[in-house]
Amino acid sequence: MNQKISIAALLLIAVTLAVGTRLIFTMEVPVYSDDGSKITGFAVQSFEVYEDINETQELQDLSRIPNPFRK
Amino acid sequence: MAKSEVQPIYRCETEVRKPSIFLSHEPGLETLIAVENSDHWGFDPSLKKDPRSPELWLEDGIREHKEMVSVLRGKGIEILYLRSLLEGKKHEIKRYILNEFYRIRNKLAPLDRSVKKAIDASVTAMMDSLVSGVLLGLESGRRFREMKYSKKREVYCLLETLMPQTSIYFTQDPVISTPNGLVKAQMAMPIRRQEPDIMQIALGKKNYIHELGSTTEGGDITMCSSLSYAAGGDVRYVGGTMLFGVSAQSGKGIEEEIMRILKKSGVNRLFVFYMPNISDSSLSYAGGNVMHLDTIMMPIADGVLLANVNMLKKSRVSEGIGGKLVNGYHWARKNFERVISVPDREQQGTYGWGSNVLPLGNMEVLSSTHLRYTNKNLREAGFDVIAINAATLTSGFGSFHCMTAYLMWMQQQNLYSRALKRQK
Repeated sequence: MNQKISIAALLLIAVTLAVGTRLIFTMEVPVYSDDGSKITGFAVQSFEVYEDINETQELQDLSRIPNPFRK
Repeated sequence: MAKSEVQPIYRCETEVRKPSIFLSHEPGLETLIAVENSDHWGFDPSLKKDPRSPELWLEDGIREHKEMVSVLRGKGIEILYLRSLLEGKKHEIKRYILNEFYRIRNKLAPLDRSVKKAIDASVTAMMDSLVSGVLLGLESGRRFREMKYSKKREVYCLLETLMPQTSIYFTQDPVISTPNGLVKAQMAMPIRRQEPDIMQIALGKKNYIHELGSTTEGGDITMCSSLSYAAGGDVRYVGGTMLFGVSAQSGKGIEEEIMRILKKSGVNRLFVFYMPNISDSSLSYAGGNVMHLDTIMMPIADGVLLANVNMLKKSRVSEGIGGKLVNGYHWARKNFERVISVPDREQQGTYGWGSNVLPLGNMEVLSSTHLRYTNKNLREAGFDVIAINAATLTSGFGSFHCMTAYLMWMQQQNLYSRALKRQK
């Protein structure tokens, strides 16, 4: 069972590397005091994301649908 | 017992539609100590300059409260009184007082013998008159009540229980209404720590679905509707959107706590609202009061937000946990069709709490007469503003939204009545 999961995970990584594009996103996250009792501010954190090209194209197609709220 | 019989009957999908039942509490003698010593009890420090005696303040406060209840009843809304609910729970109150007393017995050691005797006499007085006793705390006993304030303060700081429930007339804070039932809040200020316990005794454990493990109060969570549209461009609003205010006082673990509430409460959509006092601690309210979401912004109708723009701009919002943080004002413009402004001078303080109006559904709100500019903006936006005087009670740091806990809305009550009829 574990072997099957490992093979599936390897395959997934391989496919992602083959078709994916490496993107870096930045996001603000809350920062806590040393004792963890308070939120003291926000910090920018970077994330590396592999985005699927096909999914991006799909999103672009969706964005062409007119927004019903826009007059 | 059938499963349906033990499900919570008090719930809230959205606070912007016509309410059916509110929970309220008419302030009583338990509030006097806060009027006299506003700094310690989280009331407006300007009360020190108030020419009225505390008794006269209470008289005015009770008059304002009665007027609020009269308006709400006139709108067909049922008002449940905390005191009346407690009258039916004397056995639970007795157990609670005794538990609290035994829990703190070891802490009494460093106190003078005379103080210990006064505490014993107060607990006896509380047991003699349970409802007044649990509300008045150690002030129930004459010997303790007549002690010097500095001594009493020392005892209250040491015990953090058996205290007079000075702020419990803000019934919104100790309990959180969600689509699946009630959530027991956890108060940030030690002087308010007993409120969720007393509220839970009154409303009954069967109506609760969760107890919070981190400091979040009812004023931090608001249920509203969010925009949705079906194919063909039909715009509609669906209930079950939770706005969750996270303040500087929310410690580590708040994200996990939000996830737990989300799982239990039947929420469709969640926005986490990081309050302005995180970035600027000087914005925190005087007297150690906690900044609440409903004192800086309130959804008051489908697609309409009442808010102070400066406070929105100093806030950050994310959809869900870990979503991208965006500026609060941009979020409001994107997620609401209209933002009605509360001017800076009416945002907080003695003549403030402009965002803390009470939405009554059908473009109607209950507001205080001292909010001249906010009321004008609301009327210009097409709202029917019922303005009554609340300038006395708001010195406890909150207005009509804080003074009412939303327990049920009309559509839900109809469903509940039908279910009851079917059972019969």
